[in-house]
Amino acid sequence: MGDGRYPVSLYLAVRAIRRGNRGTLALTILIIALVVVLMNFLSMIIGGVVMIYNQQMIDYQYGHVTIEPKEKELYIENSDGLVRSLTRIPGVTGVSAHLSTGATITNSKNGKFQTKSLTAFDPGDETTVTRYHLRIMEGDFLSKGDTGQILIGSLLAGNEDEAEDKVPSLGGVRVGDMVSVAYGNGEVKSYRVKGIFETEGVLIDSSAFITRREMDSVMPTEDRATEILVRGTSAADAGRLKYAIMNYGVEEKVRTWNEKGKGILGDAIASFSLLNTIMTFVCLVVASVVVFIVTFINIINRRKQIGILKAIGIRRQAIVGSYLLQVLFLCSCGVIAGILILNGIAMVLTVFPLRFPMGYITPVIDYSGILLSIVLLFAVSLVSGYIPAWRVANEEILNAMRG
Amino acid sequence: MIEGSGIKKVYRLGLVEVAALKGVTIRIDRGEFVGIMGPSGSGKSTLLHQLGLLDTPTGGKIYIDGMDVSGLDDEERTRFRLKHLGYVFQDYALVSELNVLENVAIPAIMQGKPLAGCYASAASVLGKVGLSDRLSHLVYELSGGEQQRVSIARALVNSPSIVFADEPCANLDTENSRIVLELFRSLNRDLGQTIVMVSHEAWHREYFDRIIFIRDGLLDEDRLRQENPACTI
Ligand SMILES: Nc1ncnc2c1ncn2[C@@H]1O[C@H](COP(=O)(O)OP(=O)(O)OP(=O)(O)O)[C@@H](O)[C@H]1O
Ligand SMILES: [Mg+2]
Repeated sequence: MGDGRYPVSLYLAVRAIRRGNRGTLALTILIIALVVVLMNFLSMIIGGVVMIYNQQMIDYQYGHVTIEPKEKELYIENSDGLVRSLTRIPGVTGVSAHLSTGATITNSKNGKFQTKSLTAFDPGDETTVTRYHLRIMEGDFLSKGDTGQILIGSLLAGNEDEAEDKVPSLGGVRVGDMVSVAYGNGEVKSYRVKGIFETEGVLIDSSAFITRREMDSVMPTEDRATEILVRGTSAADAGRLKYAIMNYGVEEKVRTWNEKGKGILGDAIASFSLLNTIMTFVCLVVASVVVFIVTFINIINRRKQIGILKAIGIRRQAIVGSYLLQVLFLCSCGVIAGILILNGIAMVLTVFPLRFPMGYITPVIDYSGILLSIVLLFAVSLVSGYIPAWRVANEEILNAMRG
Repeated sequence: MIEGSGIKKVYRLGLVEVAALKGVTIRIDRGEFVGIMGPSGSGKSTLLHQLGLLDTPTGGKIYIDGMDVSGLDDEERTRFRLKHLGYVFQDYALVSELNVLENVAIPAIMQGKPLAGCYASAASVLGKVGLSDRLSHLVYELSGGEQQRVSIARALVNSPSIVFADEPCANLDTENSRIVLELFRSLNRDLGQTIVMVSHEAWHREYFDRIIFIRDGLLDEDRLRQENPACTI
């Protein structure tokens, strides 16, 4: 516009918006904003669920890469040597061998018991891979030389009042209390509860840990592991780490956290995503109908005006263009308002997080998803605005002018 | 300047055909202020719409400034109307979302002239119709007579060769009608503006240079000879 020429479509659109009905304008923008919110809200929550679930899998269950026994074998043999070798692979920042066995844990105070998988690790190694040591809510984490001590999850420890428990528990175990553990081989041992951890994950917080040293004294498990967790530099690099480990000549099953976790939440996420797609589709239909109706009513009310403009020599394209610009304006305002509302919701939900079985969910805004929804919204809106505008702008001048 | 030969217009309403113009041949010269008169339903507006390229005749030819405009396509007709023709309608036909100045400026803006220049020419024609003090008013803040003068200013802003007016005084009282007619007369006398105006008010006749009478979609030749003895069409 450097030469001072001014596009008539913009000229008309600006004035129609400025001098048009404020209430209708605000309502339309609000509806489009809500459409944007609806299109993205569910995926925001799903994003939060996925993020926390992934983080928990990595931090407490699988590390970045999990090594498991070969097909048809119960144990990884020579695990001590394997752990030492794995530590030397570039990109590995931590390695910890786990040995898990079924055991029945009984609260000595009240006789309540739970049968669980009890896992043994080397506490020093474990802190290089998992984050239990940062999640101790009472007492202390295990130390290398500990015997006769046990670390249990807060949900397993439970409450004296059973009604407060989320899952079956030992009915209120505290640090310093004694529990007895009955092993599969018939051995029964008494342990002092050294620490209680809380990660917010239901499965995780109902597990229990002892040191390798303690386990080895009960069972002949030296140099064996049921799994080895490996931590690398980042979750995204897990795939590369897996191949580095396999290339190193490890014959056991090597799987990334992602591959391990897929089965459990994968189906749920797939269903969520389907719901989300359906919702997005419905929202787009709603958006296009709203824009169509708004433009349609707008244009029907202005048939005479459009006839006048054409009569005095305003080109059809300029008239249609002015309505499309108005639609663009409505959509842009709606999208901005929608993103603000989404951020507002995200903020509120960060301060007051939603409680899910795996813990507190803080929403994760997926900007690429929002971008896609915005592009779709603009596309359907422009089409919905274009159709009535084009139809009326193509009417015979005298018919349109008759109103 | 305008030559119409054998202009026909047939409206089709389902199976019924209404012949609004049955072959009208006329000629209007540059600088004339011509009135089109006749009974209601005789085809005055229809004739004006054909001459003003607001409609396409079913038959006949129209030449404006020697150019055959009957063959123009929609796009070309729009451009032609913008550049060469001005319109004044009975109900003012102003754009409610534009203020007075903008209403008048819009045909100039559509021509692609710089905005400042468009506003300057709009303000200048608004001065000619006596509305210099109303530039930023919205249309509904004006009286009918004032609105009609805005619409006259809009018709003039692109300096058209012909201004068409379809009963511009029908919604106005005598005083405002007189203002509009005086305005037309001075535009015609002082600037040589060609004006074609439809009217059915007998007292408007004193303003016209010449009157074309229409009856039942045809020229009313008897009336014509009677009223314009000097003229032969
Ligand atoms: N769009 C249309 N469809 C069908 N018939 C029409 C249409 N427009 C006009 N007519 C008919 O054509 C004839 C001429 O109409 P026109 O409007 O030109 O009359 P007029 O001389 O302007 O009358 P008035 O003085 O009442 O304005 C009338 O019989 C009218 O009913
Ligand atoms: Mg008429």
